[in-house]
Amino acid sequence: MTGIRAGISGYLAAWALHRITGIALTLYLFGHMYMRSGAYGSSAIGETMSGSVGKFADIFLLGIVTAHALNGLRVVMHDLGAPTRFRKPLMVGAAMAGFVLFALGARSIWWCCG
Amino acid sequence: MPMPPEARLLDALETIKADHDSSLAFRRSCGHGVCGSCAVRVNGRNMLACRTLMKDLPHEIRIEPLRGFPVMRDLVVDMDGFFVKHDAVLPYLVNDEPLPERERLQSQAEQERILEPIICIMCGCCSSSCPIYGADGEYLGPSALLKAARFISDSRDRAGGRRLDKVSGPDGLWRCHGIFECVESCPKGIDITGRISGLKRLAVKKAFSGGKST
Repeated sequence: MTGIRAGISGYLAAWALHRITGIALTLYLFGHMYMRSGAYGSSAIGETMSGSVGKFADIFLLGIVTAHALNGLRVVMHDLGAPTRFRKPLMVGAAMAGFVLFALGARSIWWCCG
Repeated sequence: MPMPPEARLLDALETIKADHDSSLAFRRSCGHGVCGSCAVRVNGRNMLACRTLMKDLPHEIRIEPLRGFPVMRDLVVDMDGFFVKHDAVLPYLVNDEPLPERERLQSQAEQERILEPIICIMCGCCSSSCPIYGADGEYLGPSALLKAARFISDSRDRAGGRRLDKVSGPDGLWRCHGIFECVESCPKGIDITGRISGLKRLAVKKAFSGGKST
């Protein structure tokens, strides 16, 4: 294919990702409230979250939050007047900023906590 | 079916109908990107068959009717609902003031504000490519919202507030999530999402000013 692109665009993928991460965060909140309610046991929480499984869970959560937040920020910027012609730079910028934040955060979680 | 690289997709459809399958149904009229009749979906992207050259397409292509509209036959879709949604936004100039002796004048700057949306040919590529339009049958869609933006931006029009109220409802502006599929698929390159975002800001401004803006 030369002049015309095919299939799903990055913008549609970003929209789908925003919905998926939004649903994931909602489900996480219920899980978080359940664990914090005392039903799970405070010592059990500490044991679970200080191990590798807990760190992986935190890193996964960080990824979801970063993707959702930066994607949302990109959409808000357009709603506030960022010109449509900047949609690609904003998309790439959000993705790169998200990747850097995720990498730094994941590094901190893995090496500094627990 | 081989086609020369400089041929248009519309030529290919005509060739199929003439030489291979005379029962093939598709719409066409002007053949020059003005009427918007020949919009089709090619390899997952909406485009006008008359403005698409074969050299810009891959060796094998899949042509489908526009999504989001009921298919009547082959590549022909029922666009009645699409036009009913246009009607809902008052797609015409409303001005009850006394008629001037000659035409209603606009300044250069006022004309430039509507230059982009008036080139819309209502082909339906934008609404068809919008995932919200496909999922929510009540959503006005990018095309109707663009039409509303066109008249709200027109200095000669006097129904901006009424029109804004119509598009501010639950099936209007706020169903647009800034996905940009409409912009990506518009054969005229109109910044539809930008215009809808402009309407959103106008609607918010109107709500906070007690309905005095526009």
